[in-house]
Amino acid sequence: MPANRKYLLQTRLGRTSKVLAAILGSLVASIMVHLVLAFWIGRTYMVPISMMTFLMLWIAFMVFVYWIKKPWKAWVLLLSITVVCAGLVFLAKM
Amino acid sequence: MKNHNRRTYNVFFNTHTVSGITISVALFVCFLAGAFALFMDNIDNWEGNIKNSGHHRNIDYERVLEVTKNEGYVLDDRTISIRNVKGKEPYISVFANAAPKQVLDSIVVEEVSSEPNSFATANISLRIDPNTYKIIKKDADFTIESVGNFLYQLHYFNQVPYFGFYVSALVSLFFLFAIVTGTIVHWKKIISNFFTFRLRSSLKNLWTDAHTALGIIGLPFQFMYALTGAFFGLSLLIFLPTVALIYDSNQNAMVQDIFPGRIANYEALNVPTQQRSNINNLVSATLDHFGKDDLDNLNVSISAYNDKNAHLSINVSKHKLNNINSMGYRTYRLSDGILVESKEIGKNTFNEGFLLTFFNLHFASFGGYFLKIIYFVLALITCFVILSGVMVWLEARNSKKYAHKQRFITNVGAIYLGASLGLFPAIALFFCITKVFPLEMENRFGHMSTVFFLFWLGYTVYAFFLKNFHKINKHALLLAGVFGILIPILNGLQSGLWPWKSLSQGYSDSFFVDVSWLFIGSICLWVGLKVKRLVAHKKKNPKKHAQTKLDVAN
Repeated sequence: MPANRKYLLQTRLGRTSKVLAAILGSLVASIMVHLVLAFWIGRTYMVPISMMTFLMLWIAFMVFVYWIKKPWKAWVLLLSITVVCAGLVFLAKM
Repeated sequence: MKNHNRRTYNVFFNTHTVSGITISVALFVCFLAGAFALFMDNIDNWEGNIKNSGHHRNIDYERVLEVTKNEGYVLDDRTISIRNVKGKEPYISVFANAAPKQVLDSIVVEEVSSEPNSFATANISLRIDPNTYKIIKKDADFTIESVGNFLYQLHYFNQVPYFGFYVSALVSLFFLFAIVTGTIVHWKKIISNFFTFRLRSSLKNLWTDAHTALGIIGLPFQFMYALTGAFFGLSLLIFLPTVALIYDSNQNAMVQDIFPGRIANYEALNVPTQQRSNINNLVSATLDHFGKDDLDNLNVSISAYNDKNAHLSINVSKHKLNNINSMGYRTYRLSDGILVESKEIGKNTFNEGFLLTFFNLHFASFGGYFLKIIYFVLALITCFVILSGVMVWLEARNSKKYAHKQRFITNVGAIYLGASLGLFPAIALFFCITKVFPLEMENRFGHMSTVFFLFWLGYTVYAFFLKNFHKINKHALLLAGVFGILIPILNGLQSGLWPWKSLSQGYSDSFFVDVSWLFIGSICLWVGLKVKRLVAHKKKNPKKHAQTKLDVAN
């Protein structure tokens, strides 16, 4: 009954990479998305909501990282979200 | 099943197992200690033999401020919070952050020759006696002096200095992850397996059915607790970047958006004035407006004290209204006593209501005792889901394939079960010894908590050597049963508040805690004596090391 090993990542590097992507990469991406939303929707409404939803989005990204097969694809996704959001925050701050 | 689906299923199964097994004991502690912490105030009243009283005690705020000032503190421009704390030894809490920069600068200018008096401008945290208005304690940090409060702090590991709180938040976060992945794994069978409970086919099926069915029943409750629990410790992660980037480092502006009116946030204009309205009059006017009956909390805070822009904010909450946001406030400008801001109880704007709703959901402070009892039962169900998850993990590895790891797996199982199940009799023992240890003992609470932790550790070690899961469970239940029945007896002997006297004399918390323990203790004793192995043990592995006590347990 335990999960069938043949479907899991075999390399230690791959597993570490996924754990890091799930915890750190997802956290940063989730925070960046919420910062952009706070600029876009307005901070009065978005900031209280984001105190809760940033955790939900963090978990959603975590699940996504494990749903994607290759670790590097997960990193590309998270990093591109982070970079795009950082760019939007930069534009909003200008 | 397509290959892709099969991979998804196995991957999430694995993440669910790994995250679940890693946090299991810690999460069990959160939920069991937290279940008792729901009744924290009642337990503290029981411990101190305090009569229940709904009366509100008036505070002379002007006198409190004078006492604080006479102690040598510089109060100018500070935000000062004053609060009445009920309990065994009621006190008035006075709290203020360190004096703002402009005050520090002015003091330095005045005392060019000597060093500025750092004490006068440091944080203020005082406890003042509500009868004599003498200072009981300075630097009143959050000391633990009662069972209810101890269990409350245990549920977020506050006994572990510095990082215990954050560890509990991380545990909560991984619990959220385990909930989501568990639901994904179970998705296709949610409805069909909801009505399945294979009691006598095999232990693995029994634990799996119990784990999934109760997990689905408790899903909304568990999701709410995982989310709010993680929020308390991890909100700093979103708070800091938001303050820095969106509020241009103006922390007060952000607090005003997420908790409007909680604390008066008015900046000093640097125009000192001594002329102001009487605080006591403004507070009593506010209390007349909201009504003094059933008052749960009254927080008074003054911002920019002794400045022309000083404001007084009075927060009132009434949980008995059975309204999820039963908080109201009024803010007055102190220089002329004019009402600037106000919020009626039960009428919330979005910002006022949003986070407060989550606080109230977490603390179950919106539906009276009926709701708290439902919460208590759901928390126990969650404890069962956690332990049945551990049992599924153990049973799934009770096979030939894992024979080479059997000793390790049995040890982990014994320690996990011992640490989890041992907490319950340890809590019951803690209740007992509060009524046994002499009151005048030196460092009384320190010794009591040492006994609690030693017993808990002792039970874990005992379980490790016993290695028989059936007996670990049974003995924990028997111990908890004996301690639980002893609790009302010891309370009666110590305080004379026997259950047949306490209720009629107005000690309703004493009565209900005693009776609840008698009830819980009797059930534990009865189950502990009656409990039998449900599924007959099937020998799976004829090899020698499969004769571990894991099998005997079945």
